[in-house]
Amino acid sequence: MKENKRRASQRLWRGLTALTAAVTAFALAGTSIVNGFRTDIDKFLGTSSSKVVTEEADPNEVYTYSSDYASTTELVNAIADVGERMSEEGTVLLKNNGALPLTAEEKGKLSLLGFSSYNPVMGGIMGSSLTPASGTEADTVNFVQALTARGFTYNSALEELYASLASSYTTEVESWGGTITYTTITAPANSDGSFFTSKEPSQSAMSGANGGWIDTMNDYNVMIVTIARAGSENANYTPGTAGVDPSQNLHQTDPLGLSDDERALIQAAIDAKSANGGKVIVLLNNASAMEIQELADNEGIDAMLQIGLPGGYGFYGVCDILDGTVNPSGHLSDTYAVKNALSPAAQNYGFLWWANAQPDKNINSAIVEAEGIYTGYKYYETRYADAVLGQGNASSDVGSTSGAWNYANEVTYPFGYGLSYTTFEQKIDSVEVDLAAKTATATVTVTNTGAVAGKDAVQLYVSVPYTDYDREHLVEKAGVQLLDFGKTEIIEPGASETVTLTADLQYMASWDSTAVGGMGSYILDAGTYYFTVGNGAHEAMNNVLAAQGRTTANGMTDEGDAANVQTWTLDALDETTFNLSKNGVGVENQLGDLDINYWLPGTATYLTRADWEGTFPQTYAGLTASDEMLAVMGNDNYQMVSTGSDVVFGANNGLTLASMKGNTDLNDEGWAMLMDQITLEECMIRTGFGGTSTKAISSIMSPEAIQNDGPNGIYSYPLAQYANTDKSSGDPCAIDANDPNASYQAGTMGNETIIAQTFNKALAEEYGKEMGNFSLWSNLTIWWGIGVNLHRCPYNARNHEYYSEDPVLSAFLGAATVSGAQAYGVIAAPKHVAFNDSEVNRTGVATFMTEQKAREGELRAMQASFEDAKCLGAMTAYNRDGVYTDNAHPTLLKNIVRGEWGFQGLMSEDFIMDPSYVTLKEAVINGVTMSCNTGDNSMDAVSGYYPYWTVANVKDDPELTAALKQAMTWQAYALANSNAMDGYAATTHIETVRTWYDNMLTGIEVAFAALTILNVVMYVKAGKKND
Amino acid sequence: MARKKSAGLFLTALTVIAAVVGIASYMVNTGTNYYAKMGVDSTVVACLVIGIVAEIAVILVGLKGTPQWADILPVCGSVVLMVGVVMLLNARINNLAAVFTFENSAANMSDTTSCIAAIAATLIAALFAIVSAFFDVTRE
Repeated sequence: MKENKRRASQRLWRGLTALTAAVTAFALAGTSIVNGFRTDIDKFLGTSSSKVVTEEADPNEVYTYSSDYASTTELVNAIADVGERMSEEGTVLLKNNGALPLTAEEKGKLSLLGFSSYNPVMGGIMGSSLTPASGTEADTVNFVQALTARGFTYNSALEELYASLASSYTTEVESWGGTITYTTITAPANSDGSFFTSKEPSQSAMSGANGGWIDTMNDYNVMIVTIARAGSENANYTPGTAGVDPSQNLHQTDPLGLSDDERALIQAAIDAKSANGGKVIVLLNNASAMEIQELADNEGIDAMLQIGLPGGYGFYGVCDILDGTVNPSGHLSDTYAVKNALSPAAQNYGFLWWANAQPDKNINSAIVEAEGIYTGYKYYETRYADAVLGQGNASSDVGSTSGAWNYANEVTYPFGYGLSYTTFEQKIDSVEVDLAAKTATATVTVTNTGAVAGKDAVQLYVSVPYTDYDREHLVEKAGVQLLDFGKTEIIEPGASETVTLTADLQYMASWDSTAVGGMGSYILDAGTYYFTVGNGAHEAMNNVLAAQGRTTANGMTDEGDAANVQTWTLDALDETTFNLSKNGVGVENQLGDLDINYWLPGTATYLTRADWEGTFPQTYAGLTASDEMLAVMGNDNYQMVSTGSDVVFGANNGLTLASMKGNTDLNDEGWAMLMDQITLEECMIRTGFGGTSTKAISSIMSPEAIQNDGPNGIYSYPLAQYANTDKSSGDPCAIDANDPNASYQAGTMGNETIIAQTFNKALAEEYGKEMGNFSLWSNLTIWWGIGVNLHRCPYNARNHEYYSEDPVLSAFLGAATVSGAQAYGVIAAPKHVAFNDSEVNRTGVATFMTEQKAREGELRAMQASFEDAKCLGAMTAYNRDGVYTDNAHPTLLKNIVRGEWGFQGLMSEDFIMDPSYVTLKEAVINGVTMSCNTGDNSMDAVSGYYPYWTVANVKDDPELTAALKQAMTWQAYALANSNAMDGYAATTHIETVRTWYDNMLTGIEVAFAALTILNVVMYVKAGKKND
Repeated sequence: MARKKSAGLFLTALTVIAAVVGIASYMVNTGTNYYAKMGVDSTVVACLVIGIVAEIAVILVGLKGTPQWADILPVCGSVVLMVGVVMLLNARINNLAAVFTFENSAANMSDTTSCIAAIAATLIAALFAIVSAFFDVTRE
């Protein structure tokens, strides 16, 4: 009995010892995780783990940047204002029979049809998602909220009807941890075989909910029908019927085309119009170009607006257009084709698996971009021109909707097209080409020939000669290409404005891999160059054809205006003007390995305008990677050596990064002295674990800089998360702890296609400035916010985060936003460098193309942000460039981005990748300054993640150690020239702050360790007492 | 006097089963396409193996009566299994963050099933180990 009691007592203390010891172990081990993910934990909990202490410094000297605003009230209202104006200028009027603008009386008679009228897509489902503001001084609004605020009145019976049908159009996405319910339309998942499901309620469902719903429109006879397609990162539309829900029988031939339920809804409105005498207006709420020929043709539709994904304030702008407060001036940033799936690019899009895929190495699929330069309007307009000119077998039936290819049957609305409530006449007065200065200066007079004041976009196009040299050397030329653009101020009826555009001639040049004795260069062919303007690329093309003597008798869709063309003649082939970059670096072939034929000779035929029929892309599916390709795709392409390194680390020079604040001369000796202080371990940890925030580096007193997504604004954190709440600090942007806008996140802007559709560089710059101001108040410095990948296909559901199919439109708007933001110390980063033009198998997809396509496509879209705007940050891409991971490509980042473009800033990899795919040592060699992975600030942690990344392996490799130090130098340079240094002086030091969760963990560790000891003692005593 | 099996035996057996499920799921997970690139974390494996061995030892020794020295075994098992949970979470947290967001796909989510199973089973094993530490395997 006594023994049993003794044993029971021991069991109790043993159990308690196990409990407390396990909890102690949990807390100790958990501390390591907490340290590794501290930034994310702070984000989640609203805590801060460090603070900057500056002693005896003049605030006027330590705060370099100043806001335009005296309070967050002014700040958020300025953001709201630019968001509204972006939609005012970025909404495109596609058709209008006079139905718009609405009269004052009609404003009180709206019937909103389509569930997307009440649940519009305002941002990406994922990526550039709207961050709703509520309870702030600039709350975001959806469509009906904006209508109400602007004095419109709408049919409440329909609102109730759609509310009652909500369960039929919501989408539930199963995920670990629960179900996410969307009330908006969503984009299909990024999986082979996924499809789009139409959610528009059927007519029978509507009648079932309210049998008299059509009659309710008698008193509300301005019928606005919203048709939506979502944008989303990590999502994908599959072309054709394969991309449509097979269980639905709605005659939907493409996910971006209409379903019968959508058609029936529009027809119901048209039918009702005959009874109620009203009007039918369609709103297209999309970022990927839809197939809407039937809507364009439908005379029952009185007007149609493309509104993009308008963000939190854009619907105010839409309202302003509806009632005529603002005259629309937006123009399409993409071609709206009749059948997207017929484009050359669409022939090689989607899940095109390697025959010998190795999923465990992310060797999944390959995309051969066999269309070459002919994406978007450069395909449609060039083929059209060749059809008119009777060359290149352009009129063959390949790629046509039916029979012989005919432009009128293929394009609904061309790139650059948009209407106004007035009419404008544009006259290109002169074009001065200065080859020495590498500019073309065009003067264009814009006259308002209508009765309503408004703005107009000036689109300067050039048609370059396509010669025998080009045919022989496989150089492709678009029939017409955008060279520059501008936006007028508001022009009163009858008044004129002269717009002067100084175009960068390098964007007119064509890449010739055979030029300069095979070295490769941009060239200008001998021949006549045609400069013109137009309401879109097609009108411009027609002007050029007219100047070449063609008319509708030759098959043109409309007569062109030959008088509105200026010409310039080059007597001889020029292959030298552009073989030095603006940075003074030689420009030559760098991307030959992106051609699939480099690895597998004879595999691909690239589309040439010399023979549209014979070279129209076939689909390259099931390719077999060679052993050599597989070896490269094994992701171990840099072999470390131990020959000894004399790179200096860990010196004691007594400098801090603050001493280099604002220093833009990397040749300054101070940079070398400062960076000699950094340790090899710091370089290795910070390159390996660079995600979420760029962490502090104590040896050089480099501050932590918080990273933020996304193209629709700086949205990762609320304004107050990292804001300075110490108003005695001298920080002009310090806030009160109870600031009314503390919770505001700036992911409230319209999506990038809206920005593109403004054709307004100044407005894009203004957007950058507002984000710059937000950055100053919120202390959020790094912004992955300039999406400059191209819309190669409308099927990329992530097109909402990128501007356009056109590189020049993308380039200048991106650069303008970078310039605007950077003036306030934001590190505004273009992404994704490069060729991330699809979300399909993006981690691993091998993207192949010609160097001409690479340079005249996505690289051209990015170049200005680096060369002209001098961006201080960039993000690389998930995809492979050819067979190399983007970060490991041997020439793209090092020779083009860092070399030709002279980029000196920080460069991050895209979000979390596995350690093999990060290709860390290759990335560092190429100038990447950080991966996006996170972990504890220790060599053990980073070496645990990347087994080869040890001091022993790296310290004696001269190239790698030099590259590590160079990478950290670029990173320090970017930070020194950013607002991350605001508040920093030579006396500044960073103090670690123990958060409540640190204290809690320590408390648990101490308390439970003590309890464990106590339990052990009690266990021993229990045994002895009973002995 | 004959020794009778007690609740401790069943709880410890459940601990072993859960831990075996945990390590098996982890090994399956390390073989999936998405997670294979992460390799096998030796600390995780070591924790789970030591935990399983400790708990089996608790049973084997306990069936013959529990000598005082053997009382260290359930404490040891509880601690290493708990550390195993944390290490496993640490080894997978980056991937889980990616799979639930930017890398979300049916294939990756499928690969993640074994990851979740491993974490859940190991956590259950650790909790059972703690509870079973309050009991002997047999009683007289």
